[in-house]
Amino acid sequence: MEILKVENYSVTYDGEHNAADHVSFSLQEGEIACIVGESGSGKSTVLHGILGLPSPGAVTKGRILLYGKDIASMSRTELLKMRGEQVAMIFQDTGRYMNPISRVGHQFDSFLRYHLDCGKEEMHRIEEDYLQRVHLPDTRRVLHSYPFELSGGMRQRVGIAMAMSLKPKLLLGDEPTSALDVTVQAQVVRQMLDLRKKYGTTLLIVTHNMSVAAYMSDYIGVMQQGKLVEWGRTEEVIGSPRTDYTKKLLHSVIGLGDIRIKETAAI
Amino acid sequence: MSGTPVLEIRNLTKAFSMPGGRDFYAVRDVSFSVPQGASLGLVGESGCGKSTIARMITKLTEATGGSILLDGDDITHIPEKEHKKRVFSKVQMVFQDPYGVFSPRMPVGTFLEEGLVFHGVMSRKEASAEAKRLLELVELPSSLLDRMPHQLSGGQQQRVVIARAISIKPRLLILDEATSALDVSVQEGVLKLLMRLQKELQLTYLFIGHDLAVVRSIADRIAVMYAGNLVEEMDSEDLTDTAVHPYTLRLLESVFSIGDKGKKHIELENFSLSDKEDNTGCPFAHRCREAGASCSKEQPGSRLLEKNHVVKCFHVHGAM
Ligand SMILES: Nc1ncnc2c1ncn2[C@@H]1O[C@H](COP(=O)(O)OP(=O)(O)OP(=O)(O)O)[C@@H](O)[C@H]1O
Ligand SMILES: Nc1ncnc2c1ncn2[C@@H]1O[C@H](COP(=O)(O)OP(=O)(O)OP(=O)(O)O)[C@@H](O)[C@H]1O
Ligand SMILES: [Mg+2]
Ligand SMILES: [Mg+2]
Repeated sequence: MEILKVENYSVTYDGEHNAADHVSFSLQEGEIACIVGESGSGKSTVLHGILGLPSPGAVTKGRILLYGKDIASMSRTELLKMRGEQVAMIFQDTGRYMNPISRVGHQFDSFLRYHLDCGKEEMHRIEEDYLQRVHLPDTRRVLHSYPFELSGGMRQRVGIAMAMSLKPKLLLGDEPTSALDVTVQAQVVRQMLDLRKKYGTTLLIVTHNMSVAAYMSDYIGVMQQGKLVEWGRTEEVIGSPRTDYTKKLLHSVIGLGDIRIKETAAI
Repeated sequence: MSGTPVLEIRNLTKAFSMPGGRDFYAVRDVSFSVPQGASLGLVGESGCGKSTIARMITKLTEATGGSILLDGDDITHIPEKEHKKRVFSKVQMVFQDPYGVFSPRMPVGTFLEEGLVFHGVMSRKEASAEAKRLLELVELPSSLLDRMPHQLSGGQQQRVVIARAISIKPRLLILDEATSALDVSVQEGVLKLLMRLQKELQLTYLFIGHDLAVVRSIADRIAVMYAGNLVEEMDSEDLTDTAVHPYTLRLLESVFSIGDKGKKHIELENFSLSDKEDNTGCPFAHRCREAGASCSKEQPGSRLLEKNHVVKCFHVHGAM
């Protein structure tokens, strides 16, 4: 069943350039797609569109359908309900979306209370469970902290835990793991794959890490200057990329034994 | 590369006091030094204390133990009025969260100019031409000069902050996850730029990162931290071949590579760690496959293996 359809979606901030330029793709339930591409190419812009949260000043064209329903036609209350339960988002920089003067536990509580009808105990069980899953085992300290008392990667993981905790049908991630060390990253990737396995969650993840994209996705999309320049099955995009830009990206990946950066300095 | 190191930290410690009066050690007894023109890569688990070390060096937070020396000058506890002369004129930092560095209402161009003027690098008039050149260096169009910070993408913000930091040509540049929001192609460009500048100007880098391949590509030495402790330090060339600490090995195993689809098996690690404040034993013991009885009772000390390779682990038997 088709869960997401993005149709000729365009966004402009200045009326001249398209930050997203006629982007089209769709996802069936349970599929995982990763979007890679140039910094500034419109990846976050597209994700915000799917969430029904375009930046102030943005003018959009085209349509985004969620279960066949146009997001633009939803009321404010419908949108608020949709976010969290049907679609959840892990933001590129979770810290910016948190309230700096409220404890993490308090923010997690309000988030769950808004979407779930459950008691305090159940709420705390869920919080604990999901924080453990993203390897924040010292849950008591984390929940008692203000956002600035956590490291960058810990804040990011709180964001991941919150987004996963409602078992959304569609999970969007904007660079969800780039602030994490590789062991925690591997754990989070595994948890995301488990969501699909257990609940049939559909995932759309923006990442700069080509290897993570290759590992977890069924489809890869490549964006450059607002356009989705390539979209295909992961093996095909990695194995026989069609555009020069994709080739360049694959070529730029630095491997563990790579010495080319140091060589440039030696010249 | 002899003489006084540009950065030396000795037994550096940071304890935060927690509700209930106990202390939480974000950094414990960490020592390392970086000579002029060299780069040290600092890697480790998210939350292990890397940014806290950077924040102590840049005087954003006060050390609770140990000392920090810049060009031999002990800056650990100096009065605030000496910060500019003894710290800010020498050290620049690219923060993990670039947005927090901007003033929300200051356009990108002014932001770049301010840095140059504040540090007396040039006059305001010269600075405006320089701002444009700086953007080019980090592969950004000059049309961004008039933008407000929130009108930039994550990677664009990060590059503006890098441009400002290098414009001042600091003695020491601290890069905290400075390239993690960049696509691999732009990242390669920025890394090459950093290497070129280092060579030309003999800059010294402390490079904090999660991508082991990236850190290794730029650093001469790599220090690995776990839960506030430095557990292994070695030449970066030796990382893949000679790393021995069980945590470093775990890191290396966890790296994804492009050919991994469907092959790599990620085991779910379950461990509980609710009251970690007791300081007996090795910090990694509860997750370590090698751990024996002594590991949870005693702290392993530093051992020197060959070639400046230092490790803290009971299970490694080296030259000494
Ligand atoms: N509020 C805004 N006003 C004007 N331009 C904007 C605004 N937000 C984003 N842009 C521009 O739109 C383009 C796309 O931005 P977007 O954040 O979608 O990029 P991205 O692909 O997510 O990049 P990154 O990987 O660096 O995060 C960029 O060139 C950016 O400068
Ligand atoms: N102001 C503070 N008050 C209390 N605890 C703090 C404070 N700042 C940091 N910490 C704690 O210190 C530890 C180290 O944090 P730090 O930001 O140095 O980690 P990091 O290694 O940079 O991690 P990351 O890779 O996720 O950025 C964390 O457990 C964090 O919660
Ligand atoms: Mg983005
Ligand atoms: Mg950090």
